[in-house]
Amino acid sequence: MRRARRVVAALVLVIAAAAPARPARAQAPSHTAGTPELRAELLAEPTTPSAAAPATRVLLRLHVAPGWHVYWHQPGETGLPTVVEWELPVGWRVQDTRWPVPARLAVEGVVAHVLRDEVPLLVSLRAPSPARGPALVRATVRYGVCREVCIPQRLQLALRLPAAPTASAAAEWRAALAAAAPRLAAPLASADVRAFRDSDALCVGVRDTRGPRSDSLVFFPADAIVLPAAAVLPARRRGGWTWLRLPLPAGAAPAARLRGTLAGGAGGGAPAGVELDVPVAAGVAVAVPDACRSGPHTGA
Amino acid sequence: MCSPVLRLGWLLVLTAVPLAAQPPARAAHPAAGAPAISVIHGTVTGRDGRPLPLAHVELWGTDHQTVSTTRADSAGAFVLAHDRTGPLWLEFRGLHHARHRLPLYLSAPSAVALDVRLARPALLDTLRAVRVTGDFNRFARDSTAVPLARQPDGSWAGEIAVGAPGLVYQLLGVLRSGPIAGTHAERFAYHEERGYVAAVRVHDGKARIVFDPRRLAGDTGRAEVRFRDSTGRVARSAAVLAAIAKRTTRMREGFQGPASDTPIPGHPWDAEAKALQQRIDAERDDGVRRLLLVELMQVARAGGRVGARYGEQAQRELPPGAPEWTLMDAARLALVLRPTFVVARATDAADPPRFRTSAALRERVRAAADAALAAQRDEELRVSVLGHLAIMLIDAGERVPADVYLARLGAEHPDHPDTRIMQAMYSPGRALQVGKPMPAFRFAALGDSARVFTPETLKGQTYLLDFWATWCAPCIAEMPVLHAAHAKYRAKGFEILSVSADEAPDEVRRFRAGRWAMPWQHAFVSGGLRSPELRPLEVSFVPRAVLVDGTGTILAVDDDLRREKLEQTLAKVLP
Repeated sequence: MRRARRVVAALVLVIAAAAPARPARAQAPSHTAGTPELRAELLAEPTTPSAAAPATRVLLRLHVAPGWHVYWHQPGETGLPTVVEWELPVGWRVQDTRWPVPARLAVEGVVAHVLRDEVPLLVSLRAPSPARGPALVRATVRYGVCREVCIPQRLQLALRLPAAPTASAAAEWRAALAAAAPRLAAPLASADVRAFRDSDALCVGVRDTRGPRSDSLVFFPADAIVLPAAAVLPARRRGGWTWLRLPLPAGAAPAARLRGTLAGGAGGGAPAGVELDVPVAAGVAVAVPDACRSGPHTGA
Repeated sequence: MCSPVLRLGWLLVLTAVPLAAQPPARAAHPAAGAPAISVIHGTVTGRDGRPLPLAHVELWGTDHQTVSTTRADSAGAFVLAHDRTGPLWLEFRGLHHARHRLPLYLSAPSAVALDVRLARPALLDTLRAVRVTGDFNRFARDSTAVPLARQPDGSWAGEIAVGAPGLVYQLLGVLRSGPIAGTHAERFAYHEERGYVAAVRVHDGKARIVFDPRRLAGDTGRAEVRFRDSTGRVARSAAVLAAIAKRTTRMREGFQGPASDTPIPGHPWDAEAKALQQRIDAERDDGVRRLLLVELMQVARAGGRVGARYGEQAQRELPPGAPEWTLMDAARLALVLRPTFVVARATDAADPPRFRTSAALRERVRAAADAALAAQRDEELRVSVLGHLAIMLIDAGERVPADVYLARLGAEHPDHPDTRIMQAMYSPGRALQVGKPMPAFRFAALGDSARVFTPETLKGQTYLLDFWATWCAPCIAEMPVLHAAHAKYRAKGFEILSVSADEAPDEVRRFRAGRWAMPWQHAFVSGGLRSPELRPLEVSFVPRAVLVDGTGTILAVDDDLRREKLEQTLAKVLP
């Protein structure tokens, strides 16, 4: 614990000391890069991908300066999406990216999905089988960072994999992962989530024991084409399921799948959330659960 | 055959656990009168009040360094002695329980007694794959962690081949937040970095691990903290700290939305100020009263009306070098300057324009700022104070001393995020300066690249150049005042030219089809804020705004054109 906090303390000093006051000279990307508003850092799991276990993980950590925010990958009705472009050796690929749970920011009737303070992205990379020697992975992060003003920025990072499996590297990875875990949206199994189209709304049900425990929930849509932005909505609990009715905008295109993050609603702190990706059942033959039919939601 | 390193590690654990199991030496109960050092003591138990097999308490400072750590005894009692004052964190940990952090503010050496009941950790809703990590794989959480098999009775079990006399381990796949010590062990131990670990002996080269999640069942709510002297100084301080932090969050979110310098318009800040003033009057403890005065200055910053005598009291009891001004939330809001404003606002003038032009007040604020800068090393406080001071002097037309403070900001804190923006907006050599000619520009009209806007095409009218983008939430926050100003002053020849830094013109069209029509002139620059057309104007962030008169002279820039100041500025220019 003490070491973990020392790492954080040291990082704060690095942020203060290393942020460039003048344009940076062209140089080889390193595993850290930053601006006065945001510092990015790549950290690799200290493991060697093998034929039996070809995946390894990388943690991209964005340390956003106090008071500033960046935007989720789907920024909502305003904001620049945070985009990470990976440049990987031949045969490697990005298998999965877990994003942190965003917060909802409403400005003059326009809703944005924002990320503040510590922003971890946990990325699973799959190596070819067998992996051939050390691999250099490069990431370009594009984002807009805002407070009273907004600044579009771009950072480039690079990291050699696998990280040396030393005891200190392992301890650093564990500490970083432990700090990131509460902020990340947990993937939801397909058996624990259901979605239906019901005339002018989408009904989403999450098994009670899997979803956020709150009377009001926020659904952050991952596809702006389905739903433009997050809204705080009452949850209705029936028969071991929590139901949420998401009103569709007029003329909304039929959606085959519903993807996004479901988070706890009003109430202090950054709520934990779950990530869902579920087919939307539609058509006259589909029986929409009563708990999700239109009508007053009590949030009971 | 186990390696010497593994054998040594195992022996160390076996040695360390019995030693750690001894109850801590009991410090003498705090004697009457002020102790020379602070003593924090009490109990840490489960939510049911029962002692835990292992529990620890750690004290650390805002520098993230551990001040002191101790282990609770078999009854759950603990004692921590230290010589620190100021803001601190107490962290409570218990075997198979969720940890709890508590902010403390010790204004003086204190005796603190409190009882903490820790909750059980929230387990993953479904245990799909429970795995063992430990000294055999250097506590890695990768594929070297050994899976356990689910048993018919709901427990999990497995065997691990180990070449050592024992195995120290934790379990993965039980908590979302990280590993947890197993439920079955011959011994448990506390590791500063890893938390609690379990240890079992190895028989015939194999360690048998059994995990029963039912042993972790219990109340997973929040930890309960009870100060034995619930009305005492430390308990009251903790409540004030929590209130300041909560209000900071609300203010931060409030500032982003409404077009006002006052966060959350309509909020009863005056009532909050009044209630705080009553508490300050009744508070007899110097330390708690100082924190309440900081909180009152926060409410004053938010717009609450505060009596002059409370400003004077804050000046008296909290000099500029007081550590209370470096509390994170106080530092960022430059609350150290607020007592001077409170006194002045109540005695010198009631209306903001006169208030801002009072030379006597500026002198007093400068004196307070200089004293704070001389006494305080906290960067957030220093940047905030330098920025506030520079803006105040610029507002008053005192450019020379303002530039001195701006130069200090650049020299002393070149890497702070606020410095870049302050320099772009206010540095002496900047491109956009009031009283100077508008630099040349050439912007293509939105949707009609054959039509261009230049200083020449706009000559003869007073116009606002509004640099914005649909992806910029602070730009959208300006929409109400821009629409109101355009509607009110259009008849007097006022025009707005919004220059979009979006990726594509269609994004502007879609935005204008929504709530905000922006019924004025529009231009578009390709390449966003990296556009060469914007570089000479030093527009590297948005929103930026420039008001230009009919002769092409800059009348106002940025801050004087945002939120309610736009109307004030236009009222002067277009009476």
